Amino acid sequence: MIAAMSETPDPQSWLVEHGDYLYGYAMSRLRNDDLAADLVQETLLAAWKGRHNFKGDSTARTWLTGILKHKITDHIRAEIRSRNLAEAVENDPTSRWFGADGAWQEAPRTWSDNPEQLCRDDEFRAVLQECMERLPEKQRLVFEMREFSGDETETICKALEVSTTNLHVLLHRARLALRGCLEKNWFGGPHK
Amino acid sequence: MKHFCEQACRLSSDHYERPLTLSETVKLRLHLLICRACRNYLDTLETLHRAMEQLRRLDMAAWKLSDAQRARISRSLQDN
Repeated sequence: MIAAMSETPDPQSWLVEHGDYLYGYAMSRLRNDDLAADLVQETLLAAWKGRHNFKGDSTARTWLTGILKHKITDHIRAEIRSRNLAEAVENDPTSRWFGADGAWQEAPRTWSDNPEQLCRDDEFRAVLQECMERLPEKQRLVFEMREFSGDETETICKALEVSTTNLHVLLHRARLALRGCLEKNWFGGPHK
Repeated sequence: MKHFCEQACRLSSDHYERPLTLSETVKLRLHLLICRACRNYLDTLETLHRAMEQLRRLDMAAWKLSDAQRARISRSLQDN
């Protein structure tokens, strides 16, 4: 093992300083603790092997996160391929929300809750989780990546192998369905 | 005349994804002035968006490697 000197990159000190951050990042995208820990390990190993590529023009954390991001994207892509998730864009589920005249079948209501309080409410989280799980898988994935993980469009399109336009369609459908589900089960439901 | 709601709903989602064109922005804004349902839709999307953002922050700070995971990673780094 290389002795830790302040100028020398050292995988053990990366683990100490950035391990939790990288793990949190991976968890926010994958929700699977073994997998997240594995990817942190792979990231640190890859970073160590490729340490000559670290230019020092970004922080070590940014550089490591970049490597992890690639690993996560690769993982999601492989997963999607293996399960062959298909959702025909032509088959439009949003039509159930609108009449033939383009008007709402049931008008959306207002939500009085403030987002800060909402996300500290375990019951709300449970309902949100349930509603997300009801989404078609591809919609759920893109919504999670975009809204929960805050991923860039480009990253999501690459991971899911969809065009930007299709991504927008999927997000639109996910938002419409999720909002409807929350309105029914939370905002207009037994909690109020 | 066909209602603009269905398109307004799509544009409300799209505005999180891309800058709307001038014509889209004008159409959406004018429609929102007269349509409470679509205003509610956009407002609630914003609530959802902010709640998700906040959840991410809370969760990312809460997730930590366990001691066992940390030890395993540390060993694998030593072996290389």
